[in-house]
Amino acid sequence: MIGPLIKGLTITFKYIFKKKFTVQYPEERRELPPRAKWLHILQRHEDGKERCVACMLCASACPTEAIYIVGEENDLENPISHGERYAKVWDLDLGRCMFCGYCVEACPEEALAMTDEYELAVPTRKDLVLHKEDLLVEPGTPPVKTWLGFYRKEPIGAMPVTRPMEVHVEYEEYLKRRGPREAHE
Amino acid sequence: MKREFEKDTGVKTDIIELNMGPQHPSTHGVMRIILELDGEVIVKATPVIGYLHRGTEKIAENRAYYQVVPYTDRLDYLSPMSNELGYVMAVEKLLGVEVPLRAQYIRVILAELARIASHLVWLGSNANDIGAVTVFLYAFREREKIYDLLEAISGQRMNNAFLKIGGLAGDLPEGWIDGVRKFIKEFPEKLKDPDGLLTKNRIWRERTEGIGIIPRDLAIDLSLTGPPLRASGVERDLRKDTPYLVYDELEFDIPVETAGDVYARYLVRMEEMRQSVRIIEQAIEKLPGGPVLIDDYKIVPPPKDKVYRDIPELIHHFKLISEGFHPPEGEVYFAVEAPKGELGYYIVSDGSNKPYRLRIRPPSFVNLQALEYILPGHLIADAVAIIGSLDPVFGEVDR
Amino acid sequence: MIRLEKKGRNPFIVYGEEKSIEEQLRRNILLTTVDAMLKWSRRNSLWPLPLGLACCAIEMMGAFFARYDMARFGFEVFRFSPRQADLMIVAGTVTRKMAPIVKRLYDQMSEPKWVIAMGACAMAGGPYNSYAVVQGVDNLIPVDVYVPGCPPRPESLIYGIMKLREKIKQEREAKIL
Ligand code: SF4
Ligand code: SF4
Ligand code: SF4
Repeated sequence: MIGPLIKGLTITFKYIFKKKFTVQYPEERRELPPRAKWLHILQRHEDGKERCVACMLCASACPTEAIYIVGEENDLENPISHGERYAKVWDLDLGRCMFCGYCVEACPEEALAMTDEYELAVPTRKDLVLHKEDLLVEPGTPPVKTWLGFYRKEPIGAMPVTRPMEVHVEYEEYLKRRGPREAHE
Repeated sequence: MKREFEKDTGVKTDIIELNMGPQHPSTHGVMRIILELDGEVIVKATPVIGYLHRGTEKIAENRAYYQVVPYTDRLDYLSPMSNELGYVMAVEKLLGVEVPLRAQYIRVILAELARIASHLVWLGSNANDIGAVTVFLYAFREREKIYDLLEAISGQRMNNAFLKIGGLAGDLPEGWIDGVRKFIKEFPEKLKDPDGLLTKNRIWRERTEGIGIIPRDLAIDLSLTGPPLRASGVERDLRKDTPYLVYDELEFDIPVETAGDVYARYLVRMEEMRQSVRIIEQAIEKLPGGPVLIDDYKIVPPPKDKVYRDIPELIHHFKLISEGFHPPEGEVYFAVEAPKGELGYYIVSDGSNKPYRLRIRPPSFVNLQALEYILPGHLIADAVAIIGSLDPVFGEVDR
Repeated sequence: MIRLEKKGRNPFIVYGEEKSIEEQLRRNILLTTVDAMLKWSRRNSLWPLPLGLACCAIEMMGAFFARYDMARFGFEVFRFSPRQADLMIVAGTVTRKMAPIVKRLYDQMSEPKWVIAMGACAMAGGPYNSYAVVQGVDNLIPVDVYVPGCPPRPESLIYGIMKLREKIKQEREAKIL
């Protein structure tokens, strides 16, 4: 009886002086890998125009029908996007979205991207529906190039080492430019 | 039936009915078992399922083929990659395409990682039910490391939506293989902790040995698959019997035990984890270069940079995303060896872009039938050990 | 949600700041102090009833174990018995068959009680817009905080719980009775 007990306790006590595995979350926010699939953003061109042209591909790719778009013709004098149309309404329902990334993969304009923002809690069901204003980035924000739909070219050489991916590098640069995320709360 | 207590003491007692679940920490989800008890002894057990029926099969009939993949993730949510694997391979069989070799090897690595992750949850929760809480902490610590690997490759910790019909959503990120190497190097060492706490532990053995015996014949009659079958002395593993992917080029053993009790199932699963490590080791060594997706733009979306440049690719992209592809008419059944057993997908295609019918053969559902046969005669305290040892996952049982 | 906060919209400020005189009278000094005490103690040791129904339950368990260790915030005790819990975490798909049980568990919890809906399914039905799934647990019971994700990361859940604590702090008066 004593033998197994001592053996068990040796195993547990071994861990007292080991490095702690716990992440002190609210103070210390772990940097997610570059492929992280969390909250979407709608991007802009360098000149500040919206990238989305209301082609509806993301909405039809979405398995859960989480995206709702109403497109409208651009005013020729004062266009909002580079295409003929722009999205007047672009709603994302977080109550449906399963963060699969199919919409990002579908977008032919690089308008959609996913970020590493996962702190999404809201107090009412109404707040679950995010509108275009909430998702659209500020003009001048550096573009995020998404990995979805890009990472398919074969790596050079037969060995398992994969080549450094431009997209990866760009994302790293973006992280550097963005600077450390300020701790919230 | 002559009741024990009455026989011993002469006092008349009634059989009481006890509802276990659906909200019970050790039913591993939402199952209800109606237990009929004579004192402490179970005389009849009736499992009631369906508390997590979400209509996956019906939803799949209204989705394009490629949109079903994220739904299959959520069947056996302890090992999403194995579920995706079964589905995409079934559709690939229907389409008659073969994915590039590199993608096959990566799929093997992902499926085996999923197997380890799934068995770790089983190990933790089964031990926790019997009273060894520490093991749960160790198991989840290792699982977090697998999560990190899966997150680095797919962007999500669980429910990855990473496999694509025709290959993978992306190649490996830089340094990923080194991460896997590090993990499989450390893992057998770390597995010794729960091993040391349980395998020779007298309490653990007394709680598990001779408990919940499934005889070989019963296991075959009930068409059990996976570890419960192998613990009853039947050597059946789809990875060896009907090799898919590149399993026939990899060396591994199938652990078999003959006792058929909870302890045997424990031993089988522990050994399976070690074998998975072996498989991953070899797969990494043999991993070839090359593409990870096929080149047929009718089935997989063309690469994005081509979509921006070329009109034909753009048209393919629009057509594929908005409509999906149209496989030939016919029906296929394809099964993979998931961590829980034989996970099969039966697809009927009528030539349209959606499955006419998708039927899933979930291993836990079939394995769960055994409960009715093996619970009677045991003490009520053993019920949790037996349920845990069958390792049901209700996303899969109820679909 | 950080994005909304950056745009100057904190969805969590739910109660207005201005108080009527009547109300200020009601909240005399003694009561306010007791109130603050009660709220402080309540928000720092919520005992959760983990209602793990599907995939989200795994991430909820992840939040309670070594990596994220919710015990740091005073949530260490899983209470599987509703009588002893004051925070219900609905993690997973609520199906029609399960709905009466969820409702009953909520009713059995003693006041004061709070509910977190974790994951798309519990919030609004999520990916399962089908005949078998209740489209949001708020059809059955009142929900205080919604944590989106499918499944949400353990950090997301912890963030949601931090927000719940803020919300308890803001509550007009602690529910004494
Ligand atoms: S991530 Fe998936 S579920 Fe969410 S909006 Fe995009 S396609 Fe739809
Ligand atoms: S976000 Fe992209 S895919 Fe969606 S409507 Fe806009 S341009 Fe089209
Ligand atoms: S929200 Fe997603 S992960 Fe959570 S239970 Fe529903 S399907 Fe599963």
